[in-house]
Amino acid sequence: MEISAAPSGTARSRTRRWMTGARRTQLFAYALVLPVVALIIGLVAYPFFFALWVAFTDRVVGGGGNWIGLDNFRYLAKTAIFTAAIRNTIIIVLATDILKFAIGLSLALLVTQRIPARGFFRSFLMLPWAMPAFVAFLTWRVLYQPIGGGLNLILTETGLYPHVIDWLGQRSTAMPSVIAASVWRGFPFWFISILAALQSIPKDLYEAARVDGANAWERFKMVTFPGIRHVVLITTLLSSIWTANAFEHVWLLTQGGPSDATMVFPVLAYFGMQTQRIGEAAAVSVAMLPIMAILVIIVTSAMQRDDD
Amino acid sequence: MASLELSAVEKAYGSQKVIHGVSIDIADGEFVALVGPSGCGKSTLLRMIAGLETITEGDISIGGRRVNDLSPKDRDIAMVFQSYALYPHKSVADNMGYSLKLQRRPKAEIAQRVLEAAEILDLVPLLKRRPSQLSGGQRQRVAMGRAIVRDPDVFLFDEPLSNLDAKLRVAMRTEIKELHHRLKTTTVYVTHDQIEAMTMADRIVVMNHGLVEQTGTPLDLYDNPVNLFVAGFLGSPAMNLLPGRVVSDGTASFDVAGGGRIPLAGGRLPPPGTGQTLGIRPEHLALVPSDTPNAIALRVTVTEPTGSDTMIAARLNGTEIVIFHKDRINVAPGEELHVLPQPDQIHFFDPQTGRRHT
Repeated sequence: MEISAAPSGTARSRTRRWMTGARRTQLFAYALVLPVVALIIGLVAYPFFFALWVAFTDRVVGGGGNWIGLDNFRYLAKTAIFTAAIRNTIIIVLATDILKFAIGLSLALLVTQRIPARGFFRSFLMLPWAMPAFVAFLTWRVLYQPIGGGLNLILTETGLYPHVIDWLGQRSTAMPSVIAASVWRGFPFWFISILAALQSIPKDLYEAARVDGANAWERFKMVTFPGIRHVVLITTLLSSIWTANAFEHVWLLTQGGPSDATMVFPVLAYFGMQTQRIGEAAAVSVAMLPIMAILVIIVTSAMQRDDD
Repeated sequence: MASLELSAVEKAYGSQKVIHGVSIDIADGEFVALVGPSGCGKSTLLRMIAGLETITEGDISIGGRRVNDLSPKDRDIAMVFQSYALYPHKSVADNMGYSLKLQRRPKAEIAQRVLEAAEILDLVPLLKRRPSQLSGGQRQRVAMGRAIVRDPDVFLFDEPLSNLDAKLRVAMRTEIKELHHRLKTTTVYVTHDQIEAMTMADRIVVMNHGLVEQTGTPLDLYDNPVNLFVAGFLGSPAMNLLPGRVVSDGTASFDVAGGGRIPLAGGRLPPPGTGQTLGIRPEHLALVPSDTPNAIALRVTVTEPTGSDTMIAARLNGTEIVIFHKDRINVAPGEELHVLPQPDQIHFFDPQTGRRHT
């Protein structure tokens, strides 16, 4: 009895030791994190990988779909509408980023100067961002209308341009019009981000640069721009992703027309869904991933370089 | 190098005047400390010399040239900021050489002058680093390096040691002083730390409420403060300032308002009966045996031994008096001790005007 009791006692104490102290705390910590992990898997990872899988199938609404490899992508690559979407998405992202940066930076620099009603301007300039997107873009559509549209009225009434322009209806003006509306709606995010970064630059640095003999432009290069660089990089990344994924600006203004002049990925994917060919629509969305990935890599490596 | 003259300099923000007609003449190669409590206008005055603040009234001249309307870069000054203000994305060498680069100096010359300054300040191994990779003391030295690279007429220091820990501050104090001996550049040094001012400067300008209270050599100011403010501001521990009045009933003595009497040994005393503030520095109260004639009995409240010396806070009835002794003293709170003031070290100040009775 004594001989057999000894090992079982040791085993019990070993089990007890296994469950005590650090290990128990560790398990408890995992238990606390588990719901969040489940949520992320359920709401982010599963839909993402499911969409990825669907892109490689011929799935249609109501059907299961079979694995067809890269067929969807091969098909898309041959269509003019797909290449138009690639081109237009890149144009919109680049043009809006550049313009939003220029406008956001200029306004942020302006309201950091000692101007009257500075506080009012800071709030006022946020209005486009605060407005619901569909209200903003529907308003822009009204402004762009050939008959009775605000823009044409201004041009004809002031005599600047006597002819009516169909802003959204002709290839030459549709894209600039979409870009202009997107910039109007999106610049406040850049403005407020750059403003916050500007305010975090110590005043001493500007004074040191003045004592060193730097003029306004040299101070901008030496103090202002390095001070906002990080924020500009992050803002570029976020803004590019949002713009590339944005649906409402193109959909509400042109629906991708005229004749695909403003067709972008999200609208094309939506058309794919409307035709019930889910596999193809998913392939359109997935095709954007490499472009986004390249952008993310460029921006994060630039930020990493800064940190080093 | 050059002299620096401030004549009747005033500064106002709207109707709010912050500098009220300050005149200071600083000789070529002199090290002058502007010292005073926060908000006394010392930094504003320094920034006016630098050209970072406009001058409302009066004139500032550097080397005999009026600089009121010149931009900072045209005044031939260099400034060291409290926060160091180094360009965070640039290397130490680039930080130091930036002003020369803006002057379009040849690259070789910039490199040479940066190297020379770096050698003076022991910064050579750090030249390629960025400010974020440096310690506080190293950053401080880079900020000074940036100033000396320019070989300016005047160095301006704006509380440069405030962000350093106590030990480093003492080390940097010596380093700045040595640097001044070596370069002999006219220097204006702003600090709120009177020890810094006392130990480093050839001459101290004590400021308060936008006015110069007194100007003089450190020891002159310490020994002969012209008013209550200077008397209380310079010296650590501070001068004991006791309100009361001089009485003369056969022998002169001072009745302390809170109770107690301090015997006075003649000299030029204020008229008896008038309210006065008696000032005596803690080290001028000698500890004496209890049977010493005229000894003042005090009750110890706190002792602060530092190892080499002892500071004792004690009470004369209701009035606290601080005694500083260059030795170890074994007294405990509650004990009685006896002191005798050095008669020639007693100052009297008019409590209304603050002026010293001469």
